[in-house]
Amino acid sequence: MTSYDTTHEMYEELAVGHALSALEPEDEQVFLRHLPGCAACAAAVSEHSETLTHLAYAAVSDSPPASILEGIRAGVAESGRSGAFPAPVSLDAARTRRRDKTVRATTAILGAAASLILVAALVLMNRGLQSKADQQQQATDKLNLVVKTLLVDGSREVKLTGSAGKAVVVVNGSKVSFAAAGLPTNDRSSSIYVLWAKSVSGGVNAVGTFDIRSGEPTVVNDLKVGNPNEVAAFIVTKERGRQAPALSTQPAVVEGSV
Amino acid sequence: MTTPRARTGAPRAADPNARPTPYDGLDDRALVARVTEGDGGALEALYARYGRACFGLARRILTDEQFAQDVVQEVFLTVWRDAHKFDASRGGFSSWLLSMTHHKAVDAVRREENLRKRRTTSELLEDREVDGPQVHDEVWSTLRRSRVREAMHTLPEPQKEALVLAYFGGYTQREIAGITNTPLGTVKTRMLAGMKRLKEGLEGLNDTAPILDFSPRTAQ
Repeated sequence: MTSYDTTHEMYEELAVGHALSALEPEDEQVFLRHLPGCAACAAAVSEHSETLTHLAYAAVSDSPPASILEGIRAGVAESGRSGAFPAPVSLDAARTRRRDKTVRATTAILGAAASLILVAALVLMNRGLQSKADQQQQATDKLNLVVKTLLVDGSREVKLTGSAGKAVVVVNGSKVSFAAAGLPTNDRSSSIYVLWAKSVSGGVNAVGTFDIRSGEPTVVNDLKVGNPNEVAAFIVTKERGRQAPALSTQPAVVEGSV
Repeated sequence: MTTPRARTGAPRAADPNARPTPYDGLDDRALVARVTEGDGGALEALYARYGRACFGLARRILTDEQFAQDVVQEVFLTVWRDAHKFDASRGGFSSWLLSMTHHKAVDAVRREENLRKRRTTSELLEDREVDGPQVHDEVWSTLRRSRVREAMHTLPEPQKEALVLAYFGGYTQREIAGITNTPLGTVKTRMLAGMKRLKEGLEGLNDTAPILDFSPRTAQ
């Protein structure tokens, strides 16, 4: 260890070396003995660390490989302490599956009013449109017809979009109706769709749950949000299990800002 | 220097590839609190925010992608186990996380002697452009790198050399004294002076991306 006088400058130098992980072991021991009783050195280490944080960001980085996240998930799973962690699936595999998914028709859970509209929608369906683009357009047309039945004076329409389909939330005061088309069916024994309301302050709350059973538009009525003026966005996720979790760990299927 | 603010997920919205999650509105402290309660999704949200920076730092120090991956994985699993040790009164989460990443990467490079390539300061300072879309976060990263480079260039060469060899090279003060043929006391003095000057040069730079308006503008 270097010889020093008794002034505090010695520790100021050690604080920099400590923040840089560059101290010799004996100097590190000296500093760690001194640190707990010295507010000035604690503050210095904190400031140096923050300065070095900017230096860290100066290190150019490509996106980290998906295997890191897989390893983290595996480690978390081994810890046996996670209640809501996603299954350890690689991001690349998930992306590939998303790309391969075709837009599928969805289940109808329509009320009496919407049922009449569905007849018209089925006529559209029978035109035999084959291409994916046509199928997507058809789903959109059917959704629009359904939404017309939900809109009343004073209500607001919030469009939700995503690669897997489309949905619309109709907000009328605190009452909320939801219609979706094109979303993939879910396994009703192990998964459920959840509609979330994201507030302007960033909080996210589940509004309701639903299933997509087959290829017709799905409508869910009689949902409620606490304060509709506080809602900034609606998000739909597909969750594991049959209940809405306290917080979602899944990517948005469709989403839209109010 | 401005203290880095607890980052929220708000900037992610500008990334066309980023999908909103229920964690987006939560700041770092809130996510750490959830991690302490066993919420793996919160850990993943923190990884989404900082995994890239951690990986970049570890790879710069280790010059080996596999070792860098191991370090980053170990860092986030340490967060998973020891999130309760994060003390917000002593600095921001990103500082804590990147300090931990740096420490573990330096430990690894010292453990693996074959990684101890004697690189020059200029090699350690080597900068390269990243391929890929220049989305908001990338633009901000580029701006920050530019500010850091400018601040580093204001340092006298010996001070810059000492800091870079320590931070990106993982060398101890005594090793730096040997590499630069300089007395150990001088190396320590240079590091202190360089750190103070770097801090001044980065005044006002915080950890949160500003809102940048990239909308098309009509010529006046």
